[in-house]
Amino acid sequence: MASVLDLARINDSGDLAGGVGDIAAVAGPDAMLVTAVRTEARTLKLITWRLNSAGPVTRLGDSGAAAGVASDLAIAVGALYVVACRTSDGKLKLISWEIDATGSAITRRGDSGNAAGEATLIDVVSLSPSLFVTACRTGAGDLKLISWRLNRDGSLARLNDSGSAAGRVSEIALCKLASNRVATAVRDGSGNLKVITWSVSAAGEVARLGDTGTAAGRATLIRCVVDAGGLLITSVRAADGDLKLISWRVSSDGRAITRLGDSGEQAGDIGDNSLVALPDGVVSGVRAANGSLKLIAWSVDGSGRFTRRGDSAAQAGVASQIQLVAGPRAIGAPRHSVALATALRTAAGRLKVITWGPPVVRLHVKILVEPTTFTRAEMLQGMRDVFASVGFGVEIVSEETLDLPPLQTVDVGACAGETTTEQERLFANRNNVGPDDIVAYFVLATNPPLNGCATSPAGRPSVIVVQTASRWTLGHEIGHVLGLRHVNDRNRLMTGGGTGNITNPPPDLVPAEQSTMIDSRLSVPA
Amino acid sequence: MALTMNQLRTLLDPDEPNYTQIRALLQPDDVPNLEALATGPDLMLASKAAYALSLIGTLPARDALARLAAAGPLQVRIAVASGLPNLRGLDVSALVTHLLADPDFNVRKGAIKASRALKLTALAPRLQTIAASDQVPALRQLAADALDELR
Repeated sequence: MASVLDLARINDSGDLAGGVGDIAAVAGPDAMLVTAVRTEARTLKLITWRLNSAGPVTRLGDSGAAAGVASDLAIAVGALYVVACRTSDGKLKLISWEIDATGSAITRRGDSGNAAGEATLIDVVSLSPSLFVTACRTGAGDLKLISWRLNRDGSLARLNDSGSAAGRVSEIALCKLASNRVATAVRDGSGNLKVITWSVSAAGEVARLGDTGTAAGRATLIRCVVDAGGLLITSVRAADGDLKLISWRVSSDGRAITRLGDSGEQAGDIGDNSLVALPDGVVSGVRAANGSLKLIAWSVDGSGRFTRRGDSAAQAGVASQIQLVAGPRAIGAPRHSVALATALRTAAGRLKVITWGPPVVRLHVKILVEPTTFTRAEMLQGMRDVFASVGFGVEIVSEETLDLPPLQTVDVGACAGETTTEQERLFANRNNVGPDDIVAYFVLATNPPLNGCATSPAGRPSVIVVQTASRWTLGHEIGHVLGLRHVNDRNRLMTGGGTGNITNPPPDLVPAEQSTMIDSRLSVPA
Repeated sequence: MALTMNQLRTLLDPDEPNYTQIRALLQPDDVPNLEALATGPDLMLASKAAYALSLIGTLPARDALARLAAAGPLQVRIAVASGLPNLRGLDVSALVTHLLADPDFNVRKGAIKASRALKLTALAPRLQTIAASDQVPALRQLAADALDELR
């Protein structure tokens, strides 16, 4: 079963958005994404998007000119969407927005007026439909948390704040631990990462609970999330410039914060940094050394140990202002769906939304003759086992028996680029199969005798597998369709020495082959 | 010098053997080992060995193919029929005639195509019978097309 941490690029929003400065993003219902951006005119604009499971990301609507100049954007969703921002006079303001179910109508409902002072480094979370908390750096340079009540009319009333309970900070990340508790991950006055826990009562009382002291070193680009197992995960650019994730356990009373583990040397130098929790791990979105977006997927076990699952390789271009938002996909979802969306600023300065999901091969099975040396089920399971080792799912989309006696034996010629008349006739039997779906035809034999053949015409990706093929021939031929070549290694699926001679089953696929498979347009995100 | 059994297996075991390369490596004295592989229990290897026999294109190879056509399993008989066009220049009428009467239509299909490829006009009466009465309609058409070309 493919994990949601195996990421392949699904699609993007193309040129549906203009130039932007700051970006904040939050998930809405029904695969909707809400972005809050600072436009080229420096004004705040909300744009809604549909994260389609297939095809491009579609733009649903925007807020027009309903907001003024703003920067330091953050967004959270409760009963309404709330954007926290820095106004043109440098003050913190919260603005609430109502977005209809279609995402096309975005209406400004109210704001916080002049209830807050000068602020930068703004973040916001919702603790309940009507209770929000902001964290910011005050004009004096100190961390301050403020609680807010979202009123029925959309206005936001300041409830309380953290007073002088925190010191100087130069970076702030805020995350929700529970309905009455938040954590701030900050860069303190010494330049070190510090995590501070806070209680927030239903009435908005904010009280400092505990902190990590000097348990973490120097850090910048600080982010935090709570993973599915309840651990607090911080993500930073460490003193050496490398990405480092640290796991923390917060005690039930919120007062003790214990460092559990970190990602060690498993990641390299980064620029921008973002972090999101998914159902079975966390994903870092970073600007790699070459300036391009890279997603790195991590598993985090119950003891806080990190295992790097993989990364998105070179599937995206230059990016900054990277925001990650979890998509609607569940673990093991059988059909296409979005695991993750990135909202980012491209090299041209434009907003782009990219969708990601686990890669899967969509396979249609058409049977002229059932295999006998190994059953079709054994071949499919063999392929699934091997592909799963590199995070690929295999989705059997359809099965069909074809009554085509003349094509039970198929001329395949040299099986090297050119297709024969008989192959063309066989491959014409796609029966509404999509152009990026692969069809496996099970036949009696080929002429000349091969285990299988992966030569097929453009737009009709197909493989032939014969009755007496090995357990691994199906996966081997699909590997060819995905761009893999023969190798001289009998431990590997793509051995040129015959998959019947594989010495250490299941055979291997190596990382370079995984990249080739992901790059294939025929491996689609699930 | 004949290739060893292991050398032959190395050539034939790939999922997609390179028969062009194999043809260049085979010698007439490889017939016994190939026939042994073609009568072995591994049907995938056996069918590839049978086809490789046809690439040698000698009378002993043809005779080995005739024995396989008479007693081999279906996959091997199909491979024999597939290899018939490689026997150009040899008298293969008897072998093709035998395969045209094979109980399996996949073998008959290969033999019909070989009759056409080898321009075996002497087999026209047999092809006429198939065109008129084979139980598989597609083979009747295939035989009729072959007859048209032979005439």
